[in-house]
Amino acid sequence: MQVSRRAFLGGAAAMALLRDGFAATSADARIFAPNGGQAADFLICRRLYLDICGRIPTPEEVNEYVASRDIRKREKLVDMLLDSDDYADYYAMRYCDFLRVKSEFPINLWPNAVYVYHHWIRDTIRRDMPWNDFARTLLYSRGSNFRVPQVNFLRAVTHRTPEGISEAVSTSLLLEPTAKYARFFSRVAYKKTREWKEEIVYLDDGPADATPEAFMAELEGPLAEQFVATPVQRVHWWIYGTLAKRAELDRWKAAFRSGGYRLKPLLRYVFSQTDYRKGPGKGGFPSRRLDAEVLDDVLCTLTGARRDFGSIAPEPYSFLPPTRKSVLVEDGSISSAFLILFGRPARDSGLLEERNNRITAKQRLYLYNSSKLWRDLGVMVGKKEISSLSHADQIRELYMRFLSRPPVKDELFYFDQKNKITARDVAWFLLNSREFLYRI
Amino acid sequence: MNNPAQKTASSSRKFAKSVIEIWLWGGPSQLETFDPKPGAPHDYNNGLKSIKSANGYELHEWLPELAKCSNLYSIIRSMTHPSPAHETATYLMQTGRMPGDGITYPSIGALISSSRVFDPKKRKPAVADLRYEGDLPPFVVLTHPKGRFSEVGFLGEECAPLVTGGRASAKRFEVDGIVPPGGLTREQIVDRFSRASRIDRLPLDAEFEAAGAAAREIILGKAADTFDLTREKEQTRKRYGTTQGGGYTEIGQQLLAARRLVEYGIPYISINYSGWDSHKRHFETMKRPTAEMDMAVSALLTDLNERGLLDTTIVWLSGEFGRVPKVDRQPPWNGGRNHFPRCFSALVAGGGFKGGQVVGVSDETTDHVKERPVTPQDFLGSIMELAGVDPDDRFPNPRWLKEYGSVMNPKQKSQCGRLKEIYV
Repeated sequence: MQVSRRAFLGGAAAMALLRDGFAATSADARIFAPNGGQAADFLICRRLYLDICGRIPTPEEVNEYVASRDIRKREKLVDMLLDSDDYADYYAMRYCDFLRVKSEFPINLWPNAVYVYHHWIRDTIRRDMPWNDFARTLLYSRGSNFRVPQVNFLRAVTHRTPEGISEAVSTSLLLEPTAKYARFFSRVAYKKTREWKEEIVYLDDGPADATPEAFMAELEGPLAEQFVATPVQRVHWWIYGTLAKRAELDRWKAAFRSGGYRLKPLLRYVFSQTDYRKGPGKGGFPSRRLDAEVLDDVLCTLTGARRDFGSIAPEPYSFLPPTRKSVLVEDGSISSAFLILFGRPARDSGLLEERNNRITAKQRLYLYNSSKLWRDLGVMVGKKEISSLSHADQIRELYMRFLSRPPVKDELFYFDQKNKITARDVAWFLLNSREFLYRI
Repeated sequence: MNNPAQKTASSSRKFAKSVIEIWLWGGPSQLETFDPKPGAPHDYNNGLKSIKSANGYELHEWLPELAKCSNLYSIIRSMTHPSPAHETATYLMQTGRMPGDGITYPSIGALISSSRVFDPKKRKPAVADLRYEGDLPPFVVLTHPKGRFSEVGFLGEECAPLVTGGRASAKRFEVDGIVPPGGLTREQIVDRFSRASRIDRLPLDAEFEAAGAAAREIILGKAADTFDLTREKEQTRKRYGTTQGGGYTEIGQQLLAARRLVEYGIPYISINYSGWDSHKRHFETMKRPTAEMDMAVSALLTDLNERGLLDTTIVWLSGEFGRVPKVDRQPPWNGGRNHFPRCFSALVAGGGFKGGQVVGVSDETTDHVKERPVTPQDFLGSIMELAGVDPDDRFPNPRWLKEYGSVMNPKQKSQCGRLKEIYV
C-alpha cells in the first residue's frame, strides 16, 4: 500500500486520510460512554488504577470489575486501591516532587538522607497521617539527616538563607513561593559531623518567636485557609490538571476537613463525584498524558523490559536494579533517558508546573521508532501466552493488556490477518494510540 | 561594548552557524594533553615527553596528530574555577554560573540552539540568517545525556536535546526514534503510519497530532539519512580513527556524525565522551582514549576545514576540570590523578576563533595559572559571542520564573574578559 508522504504532514490531507479510516470526531460512544455520557466501567476502572496506583489494571482486574454486579463496586475498588502498596509508592513520588527529594544539585540532600526521607514519607502516606501533623513533624524536627528523616525538609532548599528556606517551605506547605516568612527560619542552622555527608539541623540563638514552631502556629492560625487548601489544590491538579475554582475548592476543603485532614477520605470524596464519572471528549473528563514514571512502568510491565537508570550521579554511588519501578525511584537525581524525555520533574523548585505531561515530537518519535521498544514488543508477543493464540485471540489479548478493553468488531476486522498485520504490529499500533498514552 | 568602533566591528562579524562541543566527561589531565611539563619532576610528568606542534608550542607526546594540524585550533592553558566536584564543575562549565541562587540555568547548548528557533512569543534569533528550520531538533547530543544536571534548566523540555542513544561505531548507528528498527522498508513504515492514525477512537487532539506529524516528518525526511554513516567513504570513516581490532573508534564515528549534522544545519551538537575520571592508574588507563581523541579531533578539524565548514563552525573541547599535577602513587590510587579545577586546559577552533594560538600560561607544574586566567564565564561567553548570541543580553524566563535573568551572571563578572585576543 502506497501512501503519499504529504498525508502525514498534518493539515487537510491528513484530515482526509483520517476521515477515510474510522477515526472519530468525537469519542466513540459505543466504546467509552455507552450509558448516556457516563464513562464505561472499564474506563472507570482504568482511571482509578492510574490515579490511585500509578499503573493500569491487568486484564483480570478489569474483567473482575466489569463483571461485578455489586452496586458499591466502585467504592470498594477505591478502598482496596487506597490500601495497596502501589498507592503509597505513587503518592510518595508525588510528595517527593513538592518536597524536592533529590541527593544532588541544586538540593543536595545526599543519598543516605534521600533514602531515609523517602522511606519516612512513604510510611506517612500509607498511614495517612493528617496534613497538620505532617507539617508539624517536618517543622518541629531537629537532628541528623541520616537518623531523623524529616529534618531533611529544612535541608531541601537551594539556598540556606532564611529567605531561601521560607521560599521552599511556603512552596511545599502553602503552594506559594515567598520569602516573607523568612524571620521564622532565621535561627535554622546546619553543622557537619565526622561522618561523610551527615549534617545536623539545629536552632541557633536568637529571638524566641523566630522558630519553625512559631511558623506552625501561623499555619494553624492566620494562614489556616491557605494551608488547608494546599493539599486540596494539589489533588485537584493531579487529577484534573488545573487548580480548583472557588466553589469547588470550598466543597473539597469541607470534605478534607471532615475527613480529619487526611488524604484518603479526600480522595474517596473526589472519586465519588459525578465529574469523575464523565465520559472522555469535549466537555467531559479531561485527558492527561501518563506521567513519565507511570508510562515507563506500564511499558516495562507489559513487555517485561528492564529499565536503564543513570545512577552514577550521586556520590556515594547508588545503583538501582533495572527491575525497580520508576515510580519508586526515591532520588530525583537518579534518572533515565526515558524519564527525562517524558518530562519527569527535576525536583529543583517543588512547584506543580515542574512536571511536564505535554506530548512532544521527540516523545512520539521515540514511541514510533525506538529500536528498544520494537525489540521489547517482539519479546512480548514471542512469549507462549501470546504466540500460542489464534490471530484474533492475540488481538483480543493485546487490546485487553494495553487498553483494558476488548476490541470492537471493526477493530478486529481492521487487523485481520489478510492485512498481513502481525501481533507485534498490533502491539505497536496500540502503544502509539492516544487511548493508551493518556489517562482518558 | 562601550567602544562604538568595537560595536560596529562585532555587528559586521559573520557569526558561527554551528557549534560542536566535545565534552570530556570526568576531567582530562592538562599535563597529558595541551600543557605538558617535560621539565617538571618525574612525579608530575611520569617521565613522558612532549612534542612540538606545527606552530612551535609543546603538546604531550600522546597527541601527534593534533600537533600536525595546530594551525586549525587554539588552546587555553589557564582555565580556572573553584569547584573540584563533578556536578558543580559541570554546571559551571556548562552555564557559566555558580549554583545556589535557586534557579537552574540552561546549558550553553540549550541557549544557543533555542535562540536559533524562531518563536515570536518568546524570543527571536539574534541574527536573522542564523534561523534554523530543519526537522531535527536544533540541539543533538551524541550518544548519551550528561546526567547529573538538567541541560535545559528553566527553558523546559521543548528545548531539550535529541539524545541519539545507540553506538556510532556499530554496523548500523541506530539512533533511537530516528532510524527505523527492524529493517523496515520505507513503504512498510508509511503503511504503518497510515494505519496507526486510523485506529485511534478518540477525537483528534491538536497537540498530539502536531507532535506526531513532526515526528513522522523526521523519520521520512532527510533527517534520518544524516545519521547513516555508511554513506561516507570507508576512507573517510577510517580517517577518524580505527581500533586495533580493525573497527572504528566510537569517538571517531561520533565526530564524523557531528560533521554530518553540521552539514545538515544543526546549530548545536554535544558529544559526551566519558572515561576521563582517571583517579587510579592514570597513565595506563589514559593512553588509549587520548590517542583515539587525538586521531578523531584532528580528523574532524581537517575534514571541516577541507569542506570549508570550519569558518562557520565552532569546535570546543574541555572537561569540567583538569587533574592534580602531582601523581598520587599511594594505594588505592597507584599512580592516579584526582580532580583539579585551579588550572586546566581547553581547546577552541573555527567559527571566528584564530588557529595556532596559545592563551594563558601555567606555572612549571600547572599547579597555578601564571598569566591570563580564563574563567568558565569568559570561555562560554566567547563561544556565545561568536555564535551570535549576546552573553550580556537578558534572556526571558519562560515557565514559572518571575524575573528575567541575563545569560551570564553579571554578579560573576569575569576577571580577564572574553577571548578577544584569539577572535579572527
